[in-house]
Amino acid sequence: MELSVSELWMSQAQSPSEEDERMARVIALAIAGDRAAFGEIVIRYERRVLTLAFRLLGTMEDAQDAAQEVFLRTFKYLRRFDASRPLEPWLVRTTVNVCHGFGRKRQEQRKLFVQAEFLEPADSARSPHAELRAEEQRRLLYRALEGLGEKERAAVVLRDIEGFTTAEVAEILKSSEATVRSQISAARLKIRRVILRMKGDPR
Amino acid sequence: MSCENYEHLIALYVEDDLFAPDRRRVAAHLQLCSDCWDLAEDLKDSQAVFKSTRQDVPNAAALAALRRRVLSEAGVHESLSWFERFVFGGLRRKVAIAGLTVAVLSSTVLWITRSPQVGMKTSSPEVAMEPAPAVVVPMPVAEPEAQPHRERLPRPAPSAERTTQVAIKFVTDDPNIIIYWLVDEVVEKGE
Repeated sequence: MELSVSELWMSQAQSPSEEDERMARVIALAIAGDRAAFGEIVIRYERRVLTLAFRLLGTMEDAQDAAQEVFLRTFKYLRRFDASRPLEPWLVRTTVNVCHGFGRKRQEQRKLFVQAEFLEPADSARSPHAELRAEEQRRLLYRALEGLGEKERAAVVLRDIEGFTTAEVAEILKSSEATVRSQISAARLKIRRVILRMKGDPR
Repeated sequence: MSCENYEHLIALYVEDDLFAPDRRRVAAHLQLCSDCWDLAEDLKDSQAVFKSTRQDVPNAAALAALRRRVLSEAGVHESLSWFERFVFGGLRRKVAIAGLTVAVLSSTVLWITRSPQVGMKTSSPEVAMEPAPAVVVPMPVAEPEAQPHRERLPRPAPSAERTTQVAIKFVTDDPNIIIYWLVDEVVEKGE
């Protein structure tokens, strides 16, 4: 029996496997040409794609352009997608590909990560003091990311912020694990130096 | 091995990105070197900040703007006919169509401006320009045979001269075209 997307939307997923199953049906509907199903895919993954694009590109304007391109590519090529497979890894790879070299010349003339306020903590139940400290740390971190090259930034964002394993990062970036380890190591040391400098630590 | 050489290994050690032999070597070095220990602690702190930002989400306004743009674009693509999608589908296609249009227009203009010269080259200019040789073959029209006697109407008074018809045959270089031209030739009486 086929369900409409609104029925799928209304159904409450009880576990990750149920959620995966429900999304697989939504994806199948979208592949069949259901625009509402595609809309649900956008709503489901927009946070993931936009956040990753912002971390890779450093400005919300570029991140929105890149995220839009990611979803339009998804819309265009969804018919080629195997609905039995999870969509998220494919979206992550597409986001990295779109962001690779995206507006590089534009970015050279700009300050990156000055709009860190576009990303907010998911839980806002912390004390004001803890909130302030977390905000300051986030600001330092994003300023440190600005000093990295494109490849180092992509490797460290995917490994340390997005939480992929080194092997997964290598696969996403179409690189070797040894190269990714080298990029991650260099990036972590640079970030540490930048943070110490911003804190006024002479080390 | 110097502390400088250990730095890159320590940067991987803090997140367990090393293979077992290197991991054991770094752990042993950290027990002996306070500077490298401090480096490892700093790296662990920055990693903790990284992890704290994992759950960050874009603010609602940024998400709404993105959603509006994506769904609007997808809707536009969906509502276009196949012809509109073909013509207005993308920049590369537009450039290709523009190029094709320019090529077709240029070819047409060239064809129009050069076609008369091309036509003259294909035919034989000598034959075309020269007038066809006209062969004049006088063909006196035979006199009508004598009719049986009958009552004739009174003739008008005979004039001092009479005319005979002469057919002129023009033979052109085209064997299918022969031009006959009938002319009146004045013949003096008594000739």
